Parts: sequence; structure tokens; C-alpha cells
Amino acid sequence: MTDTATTTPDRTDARTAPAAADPADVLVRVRDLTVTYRRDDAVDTALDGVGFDVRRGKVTAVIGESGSGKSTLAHAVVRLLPGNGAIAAGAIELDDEDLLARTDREFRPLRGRHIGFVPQDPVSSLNPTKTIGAQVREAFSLAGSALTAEQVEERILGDLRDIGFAAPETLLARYPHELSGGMRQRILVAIAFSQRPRLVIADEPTSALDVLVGQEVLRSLHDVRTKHGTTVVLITHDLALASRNADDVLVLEAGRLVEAGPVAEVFAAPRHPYTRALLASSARLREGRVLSIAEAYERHGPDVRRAGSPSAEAPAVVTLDGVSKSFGGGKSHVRAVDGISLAVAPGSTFALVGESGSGKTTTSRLVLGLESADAGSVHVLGEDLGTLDRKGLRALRRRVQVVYQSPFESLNPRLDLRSIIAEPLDSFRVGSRAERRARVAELLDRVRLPASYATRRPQELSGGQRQRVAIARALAIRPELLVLDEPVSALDATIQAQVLDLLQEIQQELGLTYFLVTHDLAVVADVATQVAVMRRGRLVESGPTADVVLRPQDDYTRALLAV
Amino acid sequence: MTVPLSATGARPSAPSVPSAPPTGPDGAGPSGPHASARGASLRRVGRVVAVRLAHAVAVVAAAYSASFFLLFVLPGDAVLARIGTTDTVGTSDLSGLDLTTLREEVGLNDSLGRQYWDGLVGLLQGDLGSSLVNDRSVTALLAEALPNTLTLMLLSLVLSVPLGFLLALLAVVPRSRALRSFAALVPSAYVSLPVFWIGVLFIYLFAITLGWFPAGGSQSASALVLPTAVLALLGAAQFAQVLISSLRTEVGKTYAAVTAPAKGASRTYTVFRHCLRNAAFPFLAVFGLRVGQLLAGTAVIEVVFSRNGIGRLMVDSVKAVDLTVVLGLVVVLAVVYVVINAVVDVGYALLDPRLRRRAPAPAPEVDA
Repeated sequence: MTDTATTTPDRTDARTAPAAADPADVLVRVRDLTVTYRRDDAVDTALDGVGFDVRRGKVTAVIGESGSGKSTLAHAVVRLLPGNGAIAAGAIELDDEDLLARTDREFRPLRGRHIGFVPQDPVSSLNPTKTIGAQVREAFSLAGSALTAEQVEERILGDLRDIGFAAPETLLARYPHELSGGMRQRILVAIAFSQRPRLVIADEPTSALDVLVGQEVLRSLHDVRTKHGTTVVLITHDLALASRNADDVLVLEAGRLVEAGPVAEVFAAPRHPYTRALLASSARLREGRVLSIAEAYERHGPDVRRAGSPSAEAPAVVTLDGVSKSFGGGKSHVRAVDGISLAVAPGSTFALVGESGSGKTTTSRLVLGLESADAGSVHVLGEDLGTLDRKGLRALRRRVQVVYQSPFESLNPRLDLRSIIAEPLDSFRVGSRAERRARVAELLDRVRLPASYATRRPQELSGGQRQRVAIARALAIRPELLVLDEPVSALDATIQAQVLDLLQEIQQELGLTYFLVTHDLAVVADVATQVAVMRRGRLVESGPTADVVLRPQDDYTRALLAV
Repeated sequence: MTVPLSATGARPSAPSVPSAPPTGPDGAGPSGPHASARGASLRRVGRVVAVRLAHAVAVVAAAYSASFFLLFVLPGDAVLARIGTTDTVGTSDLSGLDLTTLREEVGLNDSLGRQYWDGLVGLLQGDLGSSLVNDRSVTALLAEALPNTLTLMLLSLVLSVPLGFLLALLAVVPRSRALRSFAALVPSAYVSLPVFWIGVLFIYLFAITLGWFPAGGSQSASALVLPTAVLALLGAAQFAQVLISSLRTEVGKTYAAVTAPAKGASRTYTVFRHCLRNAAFPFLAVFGLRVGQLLAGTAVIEVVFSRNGIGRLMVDSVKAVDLTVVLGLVVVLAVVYVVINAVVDVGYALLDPRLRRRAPAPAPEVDA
């Protein structure tokens, strides 16, 4: 989406201006909003003639894939665009007041007092060297609050209680690093609502959090919103989340608003092909309704169960027997993995599900031989990792490969795709130069990327394409076992489905075994043959996917499935 | 220079000053009395101080030892250096000169181990021996040179820190992109010029052409202006370089780019109240190193402005292979490093409120 000089916004669809029967019901009115980003020598149009109304007292969700401009929209309304961004045209009205008529200095008093903002990433959104109390109090002082210090303190404590903190008094003297991600995000929600603004914009408030924690944050956001009757604009890429939390929805595609209207209507009968495609990519949404994970599994599961038919007699590819692993000593001693046992049948997909801190990543590192177990034994492809020497371990690495979570960090930006994909071949000195070249072409084809991409660099690719490259690299030396560490959680929903499909296809063709680590049970229910749920270093439940998903035995598993 | 970096220069991983009073700008002291913990925390401070002192002694001793053996490997000695070269021995005016006797007199004929041991014992007793060249006590020579250098160094250091912050703020805060870019350019430009060249330039401009200040000397206060200016600007430029990059990083982080402005904070407010302190951590980390460079710069500047001081003394005694004086200088510089690093450590504790108190047990996640 490079410089589109003059474009007429698509106004053919009646829904692009949502049904606002009574103009008095409209809090925010956006018309023909165009936002551009200045790049080195070009101007990118991030938003192109977007117009919509936000109904007072309602939750409006803005959905779309990454790059669709939904975050830009959120930042444009509060005028917090990055330095190279600018509102090129259009109008933004809050309660019929033209916000763009205000200068930057005049705009500042609106922030906090009339428009609250909940940023995306709770880790970097709080100042690490100021106490929570100081950062919440600051919202009052900056807004020029007329309350006395005592009143402010009282309000803060009340607000924090509303948002789910049982003992907020102890919280105020703490520093952000002493709080979990979910707690920090709730503090940010409390700050945004502290001045009782008319409008709160939440920019992907839960996407950096674990599923259950995110749900909790959303619940508390919903509670405060209801209590104060605040209008909320919720930016999200999670359609199920939008469907359950919003009244209205705006669908953005590549900077254009393609559809808008009440969530129930739009999700039940999408008119625009893009909305239809977006909805189809989510296994959880059918006829405008969010299916439970179990329901979704029942609908999609059968072909998976048919596909994965691991022979029970064949020796397991991965066996963990009473494995424990601890880190640190003294007070900081942590039992990351606490006596877990599991077996992965050849040709199957074993999904290890757990939230951050559950020990799932340590387990995957134990399987990869990157950590050694304190107790118990780890067998991979018939080798005992505890007795393998360096040479043996290196030989085993030819048979075990890994795909990491973030395709943005796992590929060296200075290498072209050919070098990246051929790296395992180079490192194990497999084949001649010509053979390696041919292999790269073959691999690109296998992950559905054009052969011409061999000379491109990672930054020219989208997230989904990069993850395909990572998969191609992992396949290069024909491994028998792939460890997939959150392979799709950094990707958009539509891309997630494609990458998972690709992984399944490859598994069927090559007979690979997958050891898949993830925090999101919903994502893997469709592809896993076995599921193990991990919590605080232990396996709380494991078994065939159908059993775990349809007949969960453990409360924690049930909680994960209820998301 | 053979001054090793102090081992204590690394970022402290543990709170060094846990008992500092909670007088931060936040105004929020830790709630609840910790009186019972006071005894324990005092003992902790005592232990930290003892460890630091042991470190300091080890660093100075190590610097002394390393320089001693390094200098011994160098060809020539003080006696030869005084005469010139071996070729001149035996010529008319130096005939009858007995090198061995001369070396005997200053103790150069003792075994290496003996010389090292004597030096080390002397060092512990505060006796740095006497110059091989003119028999004066090294302590006296240092005492003579040190005040001049310390004045110059401290003065320029004291000036360079606020100046560095000012330059960095100019490169980050203003709305005008042109002004910011220009301000960011100045420090890099200044740092890339050699110190002696700037010194000469300043002499030419302000002493010779304009006649405002004397070109050299160590007596009058006005003689201090030009060398201080050269060094203070150098320090400021170096500090500004570090600060600009760390400030830019902090300003770009979400808490400064989104959270604070979303509460209604202006850019200036955000930079001063939120970013400046966090941006100062990397600055502190390099502060110790930069002081070392400033010391080297001081030596050069003292020569350029013909000031008496450590720099001059160092250049002269190295030329004369005056081992005892050079070793004495090394000891002094090592002590300066140790002190600076201690200052840096205290700076961390003052700057980072998180280090001031022991973290309470991590809060449990509240289940809603």
C-alpha cells in the first residue's frame, strides 16, 4: 500500500456508516480519515478515507489483520501517532466537537480527562523506576484533578478494588517489575479509567497476555466500563474476543473500512468478502456465534483423527520419564519442570499446553538437548540424552529440528532466504553446492513460496511467509522430529490457519513427528493427536485430544477450554 | 596507560546502599516500619563495604604488580636514560663512569623479586620510594603535581556532566527536527577532534588572537580557564553521545511514547519526569570509563598548556625511565579509578529507587 494519491472511499456499502438512528447517541464521529506515514522516500497510506460512528456507552471493536491500520486508527483518535505519522485528511469529532481544529497544545487536556488509552504491552507501558502509586497518582495531577491528596488516594484504592485487586494498599508502593503482566495491564486499565473519561481506547489490551489472564483483564475492563458507562473502542485481532465483548464492529482491510455494524449482524451475515474470509479463518466462529473449543473440535476434529493414526506398537519418538529441572539456588530456586512423564508416538502431533511460567518451554529445551535434566530420563529417537556426549548430541540434532515462535527474530535479517534455508545443510556439510541449491528450491516449493524468493531477505516478507521460511529451514536436513515452539502465536488468525494447514500437510507427506508447545489450546485442538496440559511444572492432564477436549478431568483444563 | 579497569566497575547486581532514606521524588516511602530489619541491614552494609575495600586494595595491588613487570621488560633503565646511550659510555667526559655503581646506588642491581617485594612493602607503608633520577621522594613529587591535576580534572568533570545533559536534552526535546539533528551532531563532531589539536586551537584563538586568557602556566586561576574548557567540552561531548542514544531509546518506549502522553503529559514533562532518570543508567555505566579517558586527556592538555601536574610528571618520568615515579603514578591513577567506581556504584543506588529497598516477596496474582 504505497502512495495512493487520490482515492474515493468506497461508500457503496450502506454498512460503512453504521446505523446511528439518533445523532445524539454518537460519541465519536470519524469521517474520511486518512493517515499517512512518511518513510525514507515515500509516503505510506495507513488509513484511507475511513468513516464511522461510535455509539455512546457501547463497545466498538475494530478488527483486522496486522497492517490493516487498526492500531493507527486508535492512535490517530488520541493523536499519539509516531513521529512520522500524520493525519492527512478527514474529521474526528468527539461530542460534535471537531478535534482536529485543536492544536497539539489544546489537544493535550483532552487526553486522560476525556479520552483514556490502554496500551498494548503491559511490560514496557509502565515506567520501571516509578512506583505503581506514583504512576496512578500522576494521572490525577496531569489531569488537573480538583481532588485533595486524601480523596485521590481513596479513589485510587476504590478503583483498584473495582478492577479486581483484593488488597490495593500493598500495591501502591511496589514497582512494576514486582507485578505480573496481568496485574500491570489491570493497572493500566485503572489509569485509563481514573479520570472517568467519556471514551476509552484499548489497543489490543490482552494480546500480550496468557489466555486466562487476558480473559480476566477483559472481565475487569468490562466491569469498570459498565460501572461508569464509558464508551470503549476495543482494537483486537481476536474475532472471538470481539464477538463476545463488543456491541459494534468495524472491519479494516489494508487501511480501508470494509464493513461496520452491530457485531451480531456483521458476524452472522457478513457482506464483504474480506469479512467473510476473516470469519472463515476462525474455527471458533460459526453463524455469528462463538463456539466453545469442544464444539469447534467436534466440528473439525474428524479428519484430524483419521489423519493421525500412529501405530501404538512402534517405539515412542520422545519419552520423558520422571523428568525434573530446577534453576537457581537459595531463594530464587525454581522448579521449572517437576517430575513429568510423557511419550510421543511416531507420526503423531503431541501438543504441550501451558501458560507462561508453566515449564513448557523448559520441557521443549530438554527434548532438544539444550538443557539437561536434574532427575529422570529423556529419550529422543531412541537415544538417552543423559548419556550422549557432544558428538552424539550433534548427530541427534540432524534428526531433530526446531521452529521458533517469532519469525521476526529467528531469521538473520542480513542473509537471503537461500542462505537461511541452506544453513543446516551447510553446517552438516550435506551435498554439493548445486544439490543444496536444488534442495532450497524444493523446500521453498514445499512451503508454498515462489522459487524466486531464494534471493530475498526476511524483512521483505510478511510474518506468515517468514514462518514458512523457518519451517523450510527446519525441514532442510530431513529431520524425523520437529519441535514447534508456539509456531503460530505471533501470526494473524487467517495466517495461523494457513501455517497449521501447511504443517499438517507436510506431516502427512513426510511422516514427521511434531512436538508442539503452545499456550493456546484452541489453536492446537484441531491439529494435535495427543494433548498434555502443564501447570507449574507438572502435567495436570494428558491423553488423546478427543478425551482432553471433550471430557476434561482437571479443573485447570476446563478453565482453559472455557476460554 | 597500564591501569586495569576496576573489577568493581560492573553494574551492581545487589543493592549497595539498602538503608538510604526513602526521599525519592515519588514521596512514597515503603509503607510499614522496618525497624527490626535495621540491624540486619547495617550488617549487610558493613559486609558490602568490607568487600568493596578488599576489592579496592586488590585492584591497586594488581595495577602496581602489572605495571612493575611490564616496565621491567622495557629496554634501558634510568641510569642509561640519564646518560643517553651506551655508545657514550667511555667517551671523554663520561670516562671512569661506573654504570654498576650507579645502578647499585639506586637499587637497580637487586634481583627482580627483591625489587618488587621492596616496592610492595613500601607501598603498604605508604612509602613509594624516591625518584631514580633526582633522588626526591615520589610521594613529595606526587603531592606537588596532584593538586593541579585534580583541580583541572574535577573542575572539568563537574562542568561536563550538566553540559552533557544539556546537549543531550537539546538533541531530544525540541520540536524542531532540524534543531534536534544539529544538536545530536555537535558531540560526535567534537569527540572526533584530537584533544591536543583543540588545545592548540584554543590557545591560538583565545590566548594569542584575542588575548583573553593566558596560554599556559599553572599559577593563576585564569590559566585554568582554557584547559578546563577543552576538557569539560570533551567530557560533555562524550557524555552527551551516550545520553542521546539512551534518551532516544527511553522516549521511544511505550511508557513515554503512549502511557504518559495519554494521561495528558507534555513531551517536556515526559522527558524530565520519566525518561531522564532511566536514560541515566547507561550514562553511569560509561561514566567510570569516560573518566579514564578524561585522565588521559588531562595528561595531554597539561603538556599542551605547559601546566605542572600528573600528566607532565608522567611524560617526563616515562621519558627518563624513572620507574619508581611511574609506578607511583600508576598507584595514584588506580586509586582514582577505584574511587570513581565507588562513586558510580553509589550513583546507581541513588538513581534507582528499586535498589534502595529490598524487594518484598512477589505479589501473588489476584484471582478474580
